[in-house]
Amino acid sequence: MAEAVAHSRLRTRYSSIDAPRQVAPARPLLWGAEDLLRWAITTGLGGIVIAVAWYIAAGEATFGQQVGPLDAALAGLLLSGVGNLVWLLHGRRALGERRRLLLPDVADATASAAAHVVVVGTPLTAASAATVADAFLAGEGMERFHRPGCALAAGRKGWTTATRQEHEEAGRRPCGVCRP
Amino acid sequence: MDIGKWLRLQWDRVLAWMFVAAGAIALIAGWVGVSGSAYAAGQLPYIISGGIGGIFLLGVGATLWLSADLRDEWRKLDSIEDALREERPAADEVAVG
Repeated sequence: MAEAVAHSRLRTRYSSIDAPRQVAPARPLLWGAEDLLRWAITTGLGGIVIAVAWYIAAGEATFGQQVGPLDAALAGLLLSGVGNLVWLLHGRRALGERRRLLLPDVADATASAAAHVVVVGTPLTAASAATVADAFLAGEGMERFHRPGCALAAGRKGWTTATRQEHEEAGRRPCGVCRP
Repeated sequence: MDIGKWLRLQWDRVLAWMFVAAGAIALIAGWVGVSGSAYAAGQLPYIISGGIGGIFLLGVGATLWLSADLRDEWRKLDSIEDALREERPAADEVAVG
């Protein structure tokens, strides 16, 4: 199931590159112009409020008259902090979404590895299951071999597992994505 | 290493360090100003400019630094996506054929 979901995600994401000589889609950006504008406004406004508050407070003679500007300065600092926080959280979320889209997560990878074993009809023994990390996948006629959790191996039917040495003897090279 | 190239590559971290340094200087200057004044009315402008202003600058510097880390990871995903684009069509051709 997890394997199918991961494969579906990749299929959807890369459906455009299945067609040869198609123009590559534009590279996504971590932050858009709207995010940059929001951050610039909150940070800039926060800085201006602090500067103005300092200017007013410096011109007042008593502490009582300076409390207002002090509150304003703290509000400016808070505004800037919220802007920074929103900026970073947006970046983290965008990064996480793209990572999930491009690479199956650990749970998917484990399920994918188990599913492949069932699909190719080479069930692992207890001993070999312990060394599943040493088993790599490749299809007939393929030039590269992959880790079981590799995005490029997701959803492949009929692929067999073998050791690195066996793959290399068959003339295959390690995948450039999962780098087995 | 070429300094110009390094600055171009690491502009966000250089900017972050500049903000952090400015924040630290503001905090120290604020402390010096506050310690030199006996009255609260004389200290408060230093608290606002040096203290709050310094924290503001440190916050911006930290944000820029963390943004640089996120951008680095984003670039790694760019290279993974490029590798996927190269690998995927070839793999599909073999699987179909």
